[in-house]
Amino acid sequence: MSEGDRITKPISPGTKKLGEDGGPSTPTIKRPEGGNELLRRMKKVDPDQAKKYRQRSGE
Amino acid sequence: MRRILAGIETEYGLLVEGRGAEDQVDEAMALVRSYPGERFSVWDYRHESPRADLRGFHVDRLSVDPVDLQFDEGRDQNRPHDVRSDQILINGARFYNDHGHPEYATPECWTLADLADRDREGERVIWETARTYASKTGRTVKIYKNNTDFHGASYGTHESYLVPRSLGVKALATAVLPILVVRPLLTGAGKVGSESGAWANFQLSQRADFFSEVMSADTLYRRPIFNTRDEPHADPEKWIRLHVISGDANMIAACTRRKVALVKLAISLAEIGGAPEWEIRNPVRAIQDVSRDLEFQPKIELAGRSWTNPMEILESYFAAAERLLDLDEELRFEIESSREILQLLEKGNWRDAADRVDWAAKRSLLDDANQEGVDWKDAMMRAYDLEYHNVDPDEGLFHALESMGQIQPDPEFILGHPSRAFVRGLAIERFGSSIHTVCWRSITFRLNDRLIEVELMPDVDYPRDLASIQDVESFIETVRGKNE
Repeated sequence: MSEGDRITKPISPGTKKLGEDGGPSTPTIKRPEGGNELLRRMKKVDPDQAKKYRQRSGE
Repeated sequence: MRRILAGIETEYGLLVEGRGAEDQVDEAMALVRSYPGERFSVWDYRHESPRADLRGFHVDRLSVDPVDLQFDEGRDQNRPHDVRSDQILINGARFYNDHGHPEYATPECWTLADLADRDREGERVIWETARTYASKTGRTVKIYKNNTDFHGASYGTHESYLVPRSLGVKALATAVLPILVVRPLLTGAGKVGSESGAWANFQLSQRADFFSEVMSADTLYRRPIFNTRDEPHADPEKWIRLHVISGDANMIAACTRRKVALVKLAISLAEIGGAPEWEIRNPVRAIQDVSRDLEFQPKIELAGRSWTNPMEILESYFAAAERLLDLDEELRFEIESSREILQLLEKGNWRDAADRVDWAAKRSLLDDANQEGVDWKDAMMRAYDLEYHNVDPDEGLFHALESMGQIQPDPEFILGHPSRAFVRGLAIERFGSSIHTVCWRSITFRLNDRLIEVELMPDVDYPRDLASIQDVESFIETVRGKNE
């Protein structure tokens, strides 16, 4: 299979940025200062939690 | 372009202290019945048809997981309504037990912002219910919004889209299937390991391992990428409900919006005959390749000995939508934000998408754990994966990221018009004592010993001032008037 076999050629990605059309723009994110809540919670995770986690199949 | 009514049903993972998978149906029933808010509890099953197939036939039986069959030995199967334990809430949502999973089906929504809001509202509903149940039983209850137990069991997060039956299943499937195959790149929830095939340290999709068919009416076992269940929840002469079962449960609201937006684009393009035509040779293999390729450039084989990749497929839909559709503000935003993510991935800067894509957020924290010495095959990695989906705002790892400002806040969109879900919820709140049964497509009232069924139209904007009506007769008359 070669490049020449391809049916559909790539289409150039758009160059417009968010908000250029007057639509909503990407919000500014405020980074809080202080301790790392994620690390605090990760330290508390039971290493066997997924081992113990058995579910019925659903849809 | 036609607005598309949509909803999301999430089957939550349930872990009750001291109870196992064999007890899960009983636990899920008891849990949903503990819902602490106002509700109505009699569902009308007359219009349910899970064995009807969009291709025009009924299947004799649906496939069932053999492991689950063992759990059900000796169980009384004759009272399905009791087992479901339906709770219909005053926001129009349905909350019930589905095969041992507490399931929250959102109210039907017109806009992406509404739907993402309602999906998150469902997390709060189930969390409050779990707290009530834990307090009643004295057992610890954990709820996970994910799609796998890491031992081979999967449970779904389904989407429903209202589509005119006149479109036809072939045109719909041709347009939607390629999007379902590549969508995990932009919307996957991420997973450690694999539950079919070779080991993967990390993959983009929770669900990709669990598909073995391209198209069928099954959902429990031998699952298809394109589900053909024909259960419209509306006038079957006029409508079908596209029932998408291949998506992941998303924690990031932007991912939920993007997941739904991509399918809406495909449906809208199909309706005008403008969908890109991609004939993927093996869709099952392709969705698994998309999920497992951490360079984001898997070759997707096409008919005719050609090939493409997920980015080309996605861009073809975006370009066609911009060229052919009268896009609203929300869909234009989703196209542009999707392109931004694709550009980040193309440059290898996937970590920069961790504030808006679930798999990237999860992979970022797992990569850091790996750098600290935790091996990908260590059970701890799967535990971190699971805890990303813990809906407890004080325990869940996603919620930690959100509280730290590491998840992009949602842009503000104007919320949509009330759908028929508004009427359903309002009727339960105001006139619950006069209601006999409820389902997606109608409410049956009991007035003076007469049953009066009122159809809820899926394509009607119902006015908010229905809320000012004080008596049930006027309410029925006004709703019927809007239906005409």
